[in-house]
Amino acid sequence: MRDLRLSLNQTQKVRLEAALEELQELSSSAASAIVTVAETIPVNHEDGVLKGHGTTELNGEVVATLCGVVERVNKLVYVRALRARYKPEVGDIIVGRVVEIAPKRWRIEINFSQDAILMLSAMNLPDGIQRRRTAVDELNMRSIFGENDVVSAEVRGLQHDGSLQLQARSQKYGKLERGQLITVSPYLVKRRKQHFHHLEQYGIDLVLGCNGFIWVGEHVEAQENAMTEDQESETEENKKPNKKSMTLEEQERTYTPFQTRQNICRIANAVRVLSALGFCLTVEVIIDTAEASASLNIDIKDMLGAEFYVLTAEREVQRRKSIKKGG
Amino acid sequence: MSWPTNLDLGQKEALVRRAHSTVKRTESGREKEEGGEQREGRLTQEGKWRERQPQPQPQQQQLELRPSIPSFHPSLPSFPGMVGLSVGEKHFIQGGIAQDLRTDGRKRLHYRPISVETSVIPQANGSARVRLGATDVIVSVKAELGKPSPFQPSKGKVAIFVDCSPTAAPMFEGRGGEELSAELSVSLQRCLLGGKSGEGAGIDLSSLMVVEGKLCWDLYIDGLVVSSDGNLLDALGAAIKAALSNTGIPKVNVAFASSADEPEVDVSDEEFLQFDTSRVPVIVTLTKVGRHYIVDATPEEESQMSSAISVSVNRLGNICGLTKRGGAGLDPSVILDMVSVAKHVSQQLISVLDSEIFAAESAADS
Repeated sequence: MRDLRLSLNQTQKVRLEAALEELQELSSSAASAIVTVAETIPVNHEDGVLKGHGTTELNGEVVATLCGVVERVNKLVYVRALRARYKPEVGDIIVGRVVEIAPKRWRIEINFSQDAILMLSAMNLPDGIQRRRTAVDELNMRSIFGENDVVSAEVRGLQHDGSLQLQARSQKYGKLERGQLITVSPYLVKRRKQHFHHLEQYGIDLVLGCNGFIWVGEHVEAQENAMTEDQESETEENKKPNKKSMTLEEQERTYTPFQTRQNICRIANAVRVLSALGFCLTVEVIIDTAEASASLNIDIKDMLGAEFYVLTAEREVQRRKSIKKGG
Repeated sequence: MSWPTNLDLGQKEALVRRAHSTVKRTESGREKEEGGEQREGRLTQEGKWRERQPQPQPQQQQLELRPSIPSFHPSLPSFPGMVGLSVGEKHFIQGGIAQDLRTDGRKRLHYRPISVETSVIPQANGSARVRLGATDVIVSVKAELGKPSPFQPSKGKVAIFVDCSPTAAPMFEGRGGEELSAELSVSLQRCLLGGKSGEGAGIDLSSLMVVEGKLCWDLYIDGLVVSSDGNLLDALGAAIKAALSNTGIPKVNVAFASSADEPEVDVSDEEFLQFDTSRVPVIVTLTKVGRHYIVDATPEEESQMSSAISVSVNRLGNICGLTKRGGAGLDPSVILDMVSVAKHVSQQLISVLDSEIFAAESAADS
């Protein structure tokens, strides 16, 4: 709850505290001990213990060296730090930002301990033909992704030297444009079947990257065949020099429609509120929060105000209670 | 950007990397080093450099010209807007400003919620902490007895300094924050202290006088940027206003010895005079993006600005100071328009700030 810098008034403070307390009670039955640094982790020495990551032995006791949640797998005891960098797993869908173009590869910032690598050979070529990458392709890499571009991709695997390889062998992966990127703590995004969401009622795309990078943007139709993409990238190239000569009026006509923009901002602010409160980000909860704000006639910018934070916390309590009753 | 010259190649390379990507802060620093080593290794192959050996000066300069280093240098913006944005994102931000709906749902002339805390530094005469979004600044006011300058014997002196904490942003590490600190200090001096003669100062200097020509209060206003999330100048201005209203200046009893030149002073430990801050201005920065201008820009928006004007306005609606930054020029009529908008916005900001300061003071008292 690091981002929570609110000027709450007295009643809001009481309400928020009550809501958070209730949440704690609800989750306490799940029984996952939270430890801070130097706190003793209770273990049964008779069964034998394997000390894992984030633990050390001190005077015969197992002590945490990280703040986080104690996880136990058979004999292994380790601490999963909550505010840590992203730990990739093969098959994760991630969103990242290109930081550098190197020979035959892009380096992509994904909030991992080092930059991920997307090889030119691990992605579909614009013309869609499967063939060996030539030197010409290598020279044209910047026309596919340039520096600072936001891209979505999939984790392919970790190399022996510890570097992380990505792949983008599908039409759904690629450059993300016309929208905004929000970064949250990676633990808030759980791995699910779907990470690409097209919210039809809003006309927007929502990509929940497992690395905590969340993209909210205008909906783009997935390319039917590879040829259109090729043409588009070509027109994109042609457009660039024109952009300067385009008058501001012309440029304004190409902006995102106002209605869509409102939806993007509303969803984005829902993500901000939920992540600041430390609630898991699933598409259902995000939409639910956005709709609640709309039905309560809360202005988009007021979603980041104190009142809506408290309301969201209280709604989460209700939600978890109803799940508990149902389950 | 000027480099400190006494760095070896490895350090320099690390600096370059640090400036271009978010610093990797991990529990395992080992991995971070591995990443760096890789990069250096590549350099070694291409440029035949030997690792971690002090290089003679001319070669270092050559290094900066080498094309294999990403060409970030020309695009380095002068202000904190050190954020990499893709073409699509830039377009989206510009579109939002044109359509009067910014990325966080604000309109062009909306401020982010502002929160004020006072008396955060007990040793200082007055202090305040202001948060504006994730921007976080602390300002302290220290009062010392000094001698007024011979040119203005009836006025006290005020000095403003700003420091950027290296933890605020990756590019502030080392000496990275110095340029920005100097820029902010100068802007604040211009906005709050008026001209060289002290005329038109937002802070009433004559109230700092104790004995004309002999003794006056010197106010040292020190700002610290703890975290930077855009619009530092407005936040610092608000923090200075809050800190000044939190400032108590000890009461001084002056006894004139008949013969001596120097008056004898007795500084009271118990009685404090409240500083009159009703006329201290707030600073409103209007950032021009495209054809429109916005207040309280985030770093992403600041990276898209063509120019920005900071206007300091007091409660009476008088303009106390004005600075401009950014490369692009402005039409005089636009400036006048911006000033009148700033005046309008400042009155809202002052009332918000006043209520926040009042709430903070009463919270600190209780």
